[in-house]
Amino acid sequence: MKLKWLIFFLTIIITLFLFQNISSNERAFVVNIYMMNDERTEKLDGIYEGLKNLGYDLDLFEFHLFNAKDDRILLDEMIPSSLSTLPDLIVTLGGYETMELKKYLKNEQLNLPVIFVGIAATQEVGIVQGTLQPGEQISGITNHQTILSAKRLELLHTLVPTIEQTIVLYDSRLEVSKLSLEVVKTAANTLHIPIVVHDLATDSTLKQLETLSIPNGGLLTLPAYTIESSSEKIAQIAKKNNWYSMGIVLNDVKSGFLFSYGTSFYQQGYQSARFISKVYQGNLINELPIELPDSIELIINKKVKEHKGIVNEDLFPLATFYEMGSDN
Amino acid sequence: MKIFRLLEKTPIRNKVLTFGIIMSVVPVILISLYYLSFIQVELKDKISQNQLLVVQNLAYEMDQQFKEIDKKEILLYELMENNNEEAIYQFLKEEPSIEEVVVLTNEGTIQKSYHRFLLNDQNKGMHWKPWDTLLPIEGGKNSKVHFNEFEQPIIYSISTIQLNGEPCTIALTIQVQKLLGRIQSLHIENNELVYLIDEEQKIIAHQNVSQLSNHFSPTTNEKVVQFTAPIKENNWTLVLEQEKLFTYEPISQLINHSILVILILLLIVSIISIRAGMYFTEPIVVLKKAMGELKSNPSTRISHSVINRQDELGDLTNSFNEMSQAIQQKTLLLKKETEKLTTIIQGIQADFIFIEKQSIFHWLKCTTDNMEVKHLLEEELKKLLIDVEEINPLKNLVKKLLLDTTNQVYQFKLFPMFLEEDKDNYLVMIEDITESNNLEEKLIQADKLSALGMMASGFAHEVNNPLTIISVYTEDMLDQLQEEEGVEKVDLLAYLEKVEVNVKRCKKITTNLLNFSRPTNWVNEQIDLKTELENTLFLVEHELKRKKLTYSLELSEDRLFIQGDKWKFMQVIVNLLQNAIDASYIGSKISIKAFEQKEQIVIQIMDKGMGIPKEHQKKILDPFYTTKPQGKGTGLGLFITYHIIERFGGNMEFIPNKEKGTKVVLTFSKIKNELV
Repeated sequence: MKLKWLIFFLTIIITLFLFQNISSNERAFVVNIYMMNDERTEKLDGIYEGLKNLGYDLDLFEFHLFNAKDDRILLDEMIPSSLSTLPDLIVTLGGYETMELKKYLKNEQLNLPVIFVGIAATQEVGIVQGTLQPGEQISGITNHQTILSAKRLELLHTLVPTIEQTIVLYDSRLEVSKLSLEVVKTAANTLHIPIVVHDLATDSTLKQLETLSIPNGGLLTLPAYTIESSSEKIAQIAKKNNWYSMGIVLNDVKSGFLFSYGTSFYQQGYQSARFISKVYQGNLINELPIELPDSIELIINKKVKEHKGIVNEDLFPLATFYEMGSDN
Repeated sequence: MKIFRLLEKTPIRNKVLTFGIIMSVVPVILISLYYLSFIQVELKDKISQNQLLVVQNLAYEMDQQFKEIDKKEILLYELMENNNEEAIYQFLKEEPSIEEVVVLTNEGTIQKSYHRFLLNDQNKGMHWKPWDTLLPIEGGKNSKVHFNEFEQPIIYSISTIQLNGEPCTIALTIQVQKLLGRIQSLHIENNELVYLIDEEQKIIAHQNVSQLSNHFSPTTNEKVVQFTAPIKENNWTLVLEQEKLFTYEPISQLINHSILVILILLLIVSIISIRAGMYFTEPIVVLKKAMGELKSNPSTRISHSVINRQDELGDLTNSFNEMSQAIQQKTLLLKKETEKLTTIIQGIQADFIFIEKQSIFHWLKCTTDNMEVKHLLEEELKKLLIDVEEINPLKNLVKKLLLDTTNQVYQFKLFPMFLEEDKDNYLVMIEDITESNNLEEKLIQADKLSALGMMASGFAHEVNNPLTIISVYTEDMLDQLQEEEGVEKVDLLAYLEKVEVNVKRCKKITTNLLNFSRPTNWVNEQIDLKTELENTLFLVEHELKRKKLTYSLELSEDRLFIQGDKWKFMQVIVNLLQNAIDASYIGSKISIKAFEQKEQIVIQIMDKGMGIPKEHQKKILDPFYTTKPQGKGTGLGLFITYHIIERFGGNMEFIPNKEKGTKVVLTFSKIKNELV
């Protein structure tokens, strides 16, 4: 008799508990994230942190990560298979991934929202129609790299006024890179700064760059994922040739560049969390204007001390210093 | 009232269970309702306060950010005294939201500009475009929200400072994208909406981006609640809007959870209450059932495995078992007694009727199948019962009844049964005494004849005397008639009168004798005591004379009457007088008195004879008991006399006379309405 009562009460308690759990379980918001290489993983960290800062429990989301490992063919294969089960949102961490996905979605007539995290010249390359109203189902954070390329050139020359010529490294295979080059050329003209353009497309191994003889030169890299992935080698070449190198992001400085000016991958990811939040809340992606980065950082490699007297320290208050070999 | 009646009919178990459940459930519900309503109000206030706090916190955050910018701006201006560029770069670094710092002339021309995205000094010497359209906010120096060339939301801040003794206008372009973006992107649950409105009540940040630039108006929807907090720096207002359903959802959840908990609690309490009720009432139900079974089965017991208590119910169970055992024993005893009684009754040659309330007849035993006889008997009993009321309800009554239709004689013996307060119940024994009655009659007749026998010589003498006189006178008349002279008429008349008188005397004697000796059935009539006593004395006159006894007859009134058979009455008096004569000494006196005493007629026959010795007193009424020599008496006299007196409904008593002898006292009921 007592056992019956015990079983009876236990059943009630368990039923209530299960009921409670079932009722509180909601379907997770599915997000597919695409990246060309491991360099972009910092953006991912920024996304997670950004969402948490906005008050989200990450358990509300189901993230599916697709890393192409710099293999375009792999990316092409990955896209269709990853979309066999349609997600609620697509996030792309670079320009190339964004372009490819946009093409695929258009071909397949899939009406899925896409957020890009940190790509340059969105309007120019045709990703969006306008910044205020992107049109179609795509919006996101532009890293402003194209415009910033001009600013980088200015900063490089402000930091090292003694530079006589600046090598501008770009990749003509990438639209963004080409556009950035145009902006840099205009700025060079305005600022009366002589530049030497070097195309990675014709010098994929960078042997030619290495052998360039430009004394008192500066090196400016333009946005291209191909250049991104070779930043360490480029930094070595710059050091070897005593060139003052200006990169795009912190990673470049970590690789050995003297300077970088831009928004970090982490910040881009962090900022893009706002877009993810808005879509999650039910806003239409095509109503969300493209955003410029919230913050731009000037990162100076501490190695610059070796160039004391040459580098203009007036800009130092603007900069954040990075010591190689550490996480600071 | 109906409810109370219904309540009375409801089994106790149901009452206890219902009461227990009600007393468990009702207080819990009432208390819960009270606290829930109380808590609801409190919680509502708290939630509202909380929501207000949330929006105030957010507003405060934003306010602080602008205040930070202001502080740094002041620092900037101080630092610019020493080194413009360094100060500006430092300011730009410390304040990421500043997009541009422009040093302007008083006319709005760009002297120097430091831009985060674009080339510095790009528009140096040119008119600063916002200068014309800028409308500083009254009371502050921040503008309303504008959009830059990249369509990002910005606000301008203009300050005029003294730099190295010269007035200097510094303009800042503050990027509010992040600030507004955060508002628009905040993850707020439960259908909350947070948005920002500027001083013109225009929405500048909204979680639903389609609402941007719309005008804000306070809601009139009663289902929606709004909480606002000002951002004083820019005269903005932060609004938190939510449907009341969601705002106070914690209350609903609390109520739901509370209801769930209460339901569980009620369930538990009800179960406990039911269990307790069952525990307390089960013994009562068991007892009730056992009581019901006890009616048909006296061996019913309640096992201690069914009710095992040490409390009052345990005591009750023990008492029940004891009672049941006692009942069983008594039932067994009763059964035995009943069997005994039944055997006795069956053995008794008589019918038994139990009369309930004087009108309901229960035949316990009926030896006759004749319904007519039964009906007649019942009718007679009913009549008798009426008499019983009138006579003496406490005395066992014996009545004889002769049925004309069958010539059978039944004797009723009524035994009153006082069952508690009910005095109208009787047990009636009906005996068919036809044979014994006939026998009795024969005995009476035998006694009569015996008495007659004893009186025979007396009668003969009595008859002889008048006959002798008649003989003498007739002889004389014959003689005279034979003589020639004849008989004188006067003398003839005288002789004939004498003859007539003596003939009448003889007739009287013979008539009395005949009447006395004739066997008769009981005839109930009014008996004139004076007449019958005189007649009786006449019958025994000779015996009296023989023993030279004197007698006296005293009646208190000339007209004293009793009810009964006069010949039987005469027989009684004859027997008693005969006994008195036999007991009296020669020359003694016998006195007879009759008088009324209360509601009775008393007849006393006293003699001064030898009396009744003590050793004989108890046996004198026994049949065939006599102290006379053999052949002198049958021993039936007093036996018959007693039975006749019984039939009269009277009483006979032998009292020793004070002066010696015997006094016999006969008592009869007085007739209520005397027939005249």
